[in-house]
Amino acid sequence: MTVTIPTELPAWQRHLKTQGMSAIAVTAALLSILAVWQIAVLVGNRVPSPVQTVERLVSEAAIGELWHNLAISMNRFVLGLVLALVVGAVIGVLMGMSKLADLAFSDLNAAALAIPAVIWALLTTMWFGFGWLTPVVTVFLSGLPFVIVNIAKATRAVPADLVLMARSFGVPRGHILRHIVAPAVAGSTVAAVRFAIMSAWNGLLLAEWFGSTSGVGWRSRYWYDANQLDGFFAWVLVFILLLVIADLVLLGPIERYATRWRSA
Amino acid sequence: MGSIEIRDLVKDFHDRQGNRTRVIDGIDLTISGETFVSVVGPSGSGKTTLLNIVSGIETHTSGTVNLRSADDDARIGYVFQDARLLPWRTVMANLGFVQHERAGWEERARHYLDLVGLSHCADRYPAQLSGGQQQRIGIARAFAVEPDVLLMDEPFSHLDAMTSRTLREHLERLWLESRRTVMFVTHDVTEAVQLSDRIVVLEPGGRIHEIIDVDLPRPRKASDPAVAMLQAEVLARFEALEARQAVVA
Repeated sequence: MTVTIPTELPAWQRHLKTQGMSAIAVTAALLSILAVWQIAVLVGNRVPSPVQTVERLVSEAAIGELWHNLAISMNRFVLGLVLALVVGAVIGVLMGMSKLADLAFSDLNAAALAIPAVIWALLTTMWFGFGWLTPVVTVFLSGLPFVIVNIAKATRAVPADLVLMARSFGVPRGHILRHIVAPAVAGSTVAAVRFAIMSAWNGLLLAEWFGSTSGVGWRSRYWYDANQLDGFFAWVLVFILLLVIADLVLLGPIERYATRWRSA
Repeated sequence: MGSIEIRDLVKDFHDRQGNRTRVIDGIDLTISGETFVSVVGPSGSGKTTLLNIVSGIETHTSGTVNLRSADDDARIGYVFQDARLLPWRTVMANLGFVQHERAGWEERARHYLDLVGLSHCADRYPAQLSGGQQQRIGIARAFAVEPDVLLMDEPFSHLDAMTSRTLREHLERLWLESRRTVMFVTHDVTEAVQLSDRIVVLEPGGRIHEIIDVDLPRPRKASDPAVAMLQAEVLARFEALEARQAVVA
């Protein structure tokens, strides 16, 4: 018997095959979500159907509430998250490089990690009242501990032999930070951002629910108070879709770019 | 061209209980410009520690180490046992990194990549190269900084015999072209005889046992009768040292 070993597919065919598989996986995931939702509509009590929910979203868009509140929330979210990333990266790198900084911040950060976003939302509402500061600070405080813990861990894992190599060639410290420490922590930074986004987005919703008169969280509460489940569901859908889109469209490609050398 | 002056060098390590272990014990050594010096010795003789002290990676307990060069600041090139390339940067960018991207770095990088026969790999990532190719890049990187002093720590010890023989030829060719001052640590006597002008033999405890001058024409081949004869002689002396140490132990 003769066995012929198949030759490798050309690059464009492999790319097409991978893309095709991804499209099938996404379609299957969407269909299963819609199926479970439809079953919940049939067997559950007061669960709005996908069609009713989308209709409500369309009407929210028509009266200008959708884009207006979405823009306000995104504005607060991006501001709080960028602050958390900058402050978290500085503290995380310090903790990863200095034993003293690690001792100073690790317990405090562990305590902050244990505090749920709802507590931050309630606290900031009591501290700052109804205004833009409440959601921004909640986003910052909810995301910060995740950024710190991931970046500190990644900094500790920076290959010491590469740092020694650079030092033996007399490479300046700034260059070592930029070209060894930063790329080594880049992959973990994306993971940190992912966790931070999840936690911070929850914080934003809750802060706007309790302490705001605009935004996605406030609009969800509006429909909740009106006892209109389709409106409430429509905004929950917006909330979930934004997270999924951010992950697929932004973070996935950024992570692939940051770690492209691994698959080179 | 740079030179290395080591005077009465001592290095002690202390464990957690405060016990002292002396790994370098009063080494005096001068490596003048344009000389290729190998440091050989059994395990525990302090070869790598000596190299790390000269490079400034490690501190010493007492004595002095001076690197002299025409400029104020002596430039050091280092070739490690493993290539130690930044995996997230291309070959070319790796060569640029250690030169801090100083003027003319690209030209120098291309020149030395060409000399090690890897100019076609300039845009590849290290993961796309074999172990031998990575080590050749490591050697090209060290030469490309145009160092006053070039330090090499058993650069071929992780490679197979065929690859390391080829790389020795590459290294000798590069050295003949540039005539850098080289301090080359190895446990391989054959390698030391083929490449060196002088061989410094260390004994356990970090003392110099003897210094052997290698006065053979270059380029050398391991199969040359004169090289083979000296290799056998140095190997015999080395084995006698090991046997004496075994009796003392």
